[in-house]
Amino acid sequence: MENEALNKGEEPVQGYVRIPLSILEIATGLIVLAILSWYVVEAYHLPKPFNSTDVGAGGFPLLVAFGTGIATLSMIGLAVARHMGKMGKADSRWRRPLFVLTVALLLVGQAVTFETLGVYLCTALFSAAIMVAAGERRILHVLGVSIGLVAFIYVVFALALNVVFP
Amino acid sequence: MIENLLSGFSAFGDPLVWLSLIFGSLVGYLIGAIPGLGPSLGVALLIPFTYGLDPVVSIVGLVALYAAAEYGGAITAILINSPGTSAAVATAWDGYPLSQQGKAGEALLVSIVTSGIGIFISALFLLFTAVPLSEFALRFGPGEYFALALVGLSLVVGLAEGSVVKGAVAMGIGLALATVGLDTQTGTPRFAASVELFEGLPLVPVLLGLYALSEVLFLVEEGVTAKIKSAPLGGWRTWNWKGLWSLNGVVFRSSVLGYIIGIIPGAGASIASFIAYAVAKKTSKTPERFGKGSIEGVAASEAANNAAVSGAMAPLLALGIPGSPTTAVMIGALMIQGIQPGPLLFSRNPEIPYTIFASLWIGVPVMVFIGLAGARAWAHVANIPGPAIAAIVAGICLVGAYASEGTMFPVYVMTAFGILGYLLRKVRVPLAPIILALVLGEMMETNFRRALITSHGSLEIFYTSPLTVALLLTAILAFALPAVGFIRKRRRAAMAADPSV
Repeated sequence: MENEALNKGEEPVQGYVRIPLSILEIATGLIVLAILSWYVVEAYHLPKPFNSTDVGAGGFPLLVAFGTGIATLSMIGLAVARHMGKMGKADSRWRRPLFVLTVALLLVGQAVTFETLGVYLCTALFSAAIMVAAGERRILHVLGVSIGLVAFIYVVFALALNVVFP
Repeated sequence: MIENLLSGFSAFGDPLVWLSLIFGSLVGYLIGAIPGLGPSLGVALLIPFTYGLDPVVSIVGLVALYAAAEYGGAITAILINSPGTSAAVATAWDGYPLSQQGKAGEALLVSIVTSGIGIFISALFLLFTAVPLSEFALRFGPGEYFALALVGLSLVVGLAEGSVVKGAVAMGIGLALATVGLDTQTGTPRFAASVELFEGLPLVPVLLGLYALSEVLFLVEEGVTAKIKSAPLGGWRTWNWKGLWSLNGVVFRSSVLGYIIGIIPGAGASIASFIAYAVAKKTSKTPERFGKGSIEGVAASEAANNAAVSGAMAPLLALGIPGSPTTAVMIGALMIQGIQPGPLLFSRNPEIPYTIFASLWIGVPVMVFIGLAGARAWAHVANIPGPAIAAIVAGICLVGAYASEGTMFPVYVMTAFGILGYLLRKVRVPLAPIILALVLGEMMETNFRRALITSHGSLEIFYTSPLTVALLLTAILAFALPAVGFIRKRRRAAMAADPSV
């Protein structure tokens, strides 16, 4: 992995992390395989079909798991071959990872606090926080967008579409 | 047909339908003009605004948005060399050089008018192919339907960006997600950790998460970008309409090509524009001007990518199989209105398909007017700071997901799929097969099991009907051909590296 500054020291956090795609593919493949294993066990324990003409509740999921398993193993195999240098290598660039992680956490926070804070306060606070976390430093822009968004949601969803929010 | 078509046009007697058309076009231009945001995201974001609206009003707005977003990408492609959508990449090849030569106005005029003509011609084709296709599809049994869904999925996987293997993994994930909930045949709960999942994963929050919320994180990656200076809008007055008439051959050919390519699930507007551009270059009297500012290149690309919009509608309306990610999202919008696309749509809800045909034609002058009147404004849209778009999209996703069911569960689903979508895109796993498989999964399983029951548990139903066999062969080819191409490419690369191989 490497970390490079994009703006030559202006904002040191504005870099990117480069991860070999093959590593990510292997990791993703293993996660998918782990979930598939659980899926297969669950499907296998579903009630058996009522008659011999049906495959039952678990039949189709087992077929899906079989096909997906083969595809996932192929993806892992190709990724291993690429990692060992038998095929062309590629990287996945994760730009501004700290900003992205912060916003991802804000999105989770937005969902968790939505009911407690209520739609308007939650939207105003988190839209402002997302803008700041995304790199916006002009306070008037941040306030303008937040207030405008809340007003828009009130007019369209609450007034026009009669949606009842927490 | 004429009677139904007239009733489709009569829907425009309602001012709300006009309002929906204009609003959809405006939002479509806005979404299309912002690089990175595409029609799928636009349609997904518009769904929450259709809750409680009449289905006809909703569908007119969604179709207008889809068509306008495909065009909106051309404006920024021509003025600032930054295609708003991938379908406008070929437009930038000649559109931007024309701008640099002081002919931006001419390029915009041609692109807007040829886009409109492309939609107009392809909507005619849609009318005359979707109706017979839906009548033919009424004869399909469960075996044919299962095979048809498999063809749709395999074509999307085969033509997916990146590798076929990752497309297949994505398809598997989508199909597995589609099995969550109560089994439709026996009522047994499957893979449902909570009661909320008994009805399956809610489609709208999944769409909002994968297409819209994941984009928020990509916008954060971009940060605050520098302002781009647009080229001056020169060339409006020097342009003569006779010049436009001289493009009739290329526009007609590209529209037909665009429509046909649009029908193929997974092919879409981008492939349509590239192929139409290549054909236009081959048949042109001045191929040397392509890439340096050829008006024919702009016309071919734009007519084709807009015609592909109607093309993608054909399998959606006639067979219930979405031909593109955007139409897959549109299926979600129709489903929440209680409308199931497919052959029965034409007999049960004829007002929907015929209003779509009418809206494609009526929408042409509206779209051309909005495009021409606001060309300069649309170019400035590309300068809206990324953080502001991110905050707005995240806010609309949040309230849209909540409003879809009036509970918190869809909000959690949307957030989880937003982060999952971002991670999958980072690993270059395409999202379109997930959405298509999620939409088609239940239909596939139901018809697979129905087929087995009608054939008393024998698999022969899948190889005794010629149509089923043809469809299954198409599905296998759609998977196999890209894989063969990949192996050949590798072999050629190995030969080039070491001639002794």
